[in-house]
Amino acid sequence: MITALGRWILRHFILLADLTRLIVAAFQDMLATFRHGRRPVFRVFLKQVYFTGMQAFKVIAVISLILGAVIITQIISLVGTGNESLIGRVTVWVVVRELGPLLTAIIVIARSGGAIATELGGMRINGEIESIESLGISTGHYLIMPRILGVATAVVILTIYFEIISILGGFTVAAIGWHMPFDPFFEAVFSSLTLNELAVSGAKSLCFGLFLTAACCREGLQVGKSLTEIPQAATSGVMHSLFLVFALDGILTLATLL
Amino acid sequence: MIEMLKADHIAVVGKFEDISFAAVHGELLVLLTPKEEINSTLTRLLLGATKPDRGDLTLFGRDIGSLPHSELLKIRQRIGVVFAGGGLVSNLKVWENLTLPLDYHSTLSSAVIEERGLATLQRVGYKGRLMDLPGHLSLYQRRQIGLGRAMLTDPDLMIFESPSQGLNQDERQAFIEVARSFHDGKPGRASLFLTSNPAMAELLQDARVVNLHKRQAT
Repeated sequence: MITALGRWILRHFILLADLTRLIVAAFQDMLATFRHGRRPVFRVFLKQVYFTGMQAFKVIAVISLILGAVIITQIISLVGTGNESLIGRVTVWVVVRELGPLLTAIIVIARSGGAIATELGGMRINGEIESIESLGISTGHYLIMPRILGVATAVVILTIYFEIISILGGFTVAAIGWHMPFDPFFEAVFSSLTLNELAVSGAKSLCFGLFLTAACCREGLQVGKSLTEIPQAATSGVMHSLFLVFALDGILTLATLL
Repeated sequence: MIEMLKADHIAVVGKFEDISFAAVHGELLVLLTPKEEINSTLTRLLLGATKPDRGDLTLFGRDIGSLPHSELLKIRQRIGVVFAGGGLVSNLKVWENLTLPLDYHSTLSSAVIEERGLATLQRVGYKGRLMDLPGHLSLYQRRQIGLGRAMLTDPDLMIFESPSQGLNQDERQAFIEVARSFHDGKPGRASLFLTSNPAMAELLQDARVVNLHKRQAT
């Protein structure tokens, strides 16, 4: 039991170290882009932002709207009407601190995480990665770095949209259902939205974006020569990403409370 | 004569045993192998993607097996490879595939790249669509784009992996003609044709032919 637990911890520690190395290499490669490959690498980056960010926007908008309505309904059922200031503050705490970054990352993992692992795994099996390397182009620079930074950028932007739509959606439901006035609610929302709250939300979404993509890229690149390894890589990438997102959320939340 | 590449008694377990050959600057070399599979392995060896189990392999005077990744990438910029299947990237359009290495390594403007790209397409005789994905192309078209992509970087060494495989007589003839004229376009450029088709030697009559059939145990 203890041995198995130790092995599990060690395995995940190695995974985390591997992913950190991949992310650090991505930032180093970003600097190398000033020397060569600016146009094609930027094209891959933009494609990634489009596929992960733009195409996921509708899903994010609908989910955040529904979630905002659910959250405010629960808060009102707990604290009652007439306490707009508290309702506004709790909404910010729940949405901005916690659910915004977390749920956005989970949606991105579901939409793009598996796709990235599958795409890279397919490229590996078809010999395309070797073909790119044969052109003197580094895989890390051309394939991995723009994906990691592209998804991280998309996650940060989607989180902002998630939070705005969620708060607006919640208020709309409360205004229609319980005739909540605009001014006291948004006064409470803006007074709770301190720089610290925004920084925590931004840091969480950035970390989630970086690590979830690194995990999926790592799994995709580890595909060998068999087609059956591609779905395995996708599943593994998604599971590792989910684990990392929850683990990082816990760590970052604890760190901000200390 | 300066040797551009030299394989000295190289072996890959399960693939081939004891292969030796060398190419000098400006040489046109046809390497006749016992089977197509060996061509792919040799291409990977020459690019430093894998190491031989035995023997030494030098490219531009440097031992390929001992080079770090960053050095390998630099050396590969001097090599143009036309893979048997074209070696195109499936999520890039034909035009993006063609101009990828030039766009990546050079500081040329988009207009110049476009001009050179279109000229190269004309030279290789590509008549398909530029915005198609490689999955929609025939093998010959994929290989034309692969050849054009290599030509755009003006390499010192060209490697053709199984160039006759899967092409009909006319396509083969046209492909070799373009490859031949490109070889002559730069003094000192060496071209290596890895093939198991003896007819290739007839198509490239002034090439030196190294027949590995007799030397192989497999």
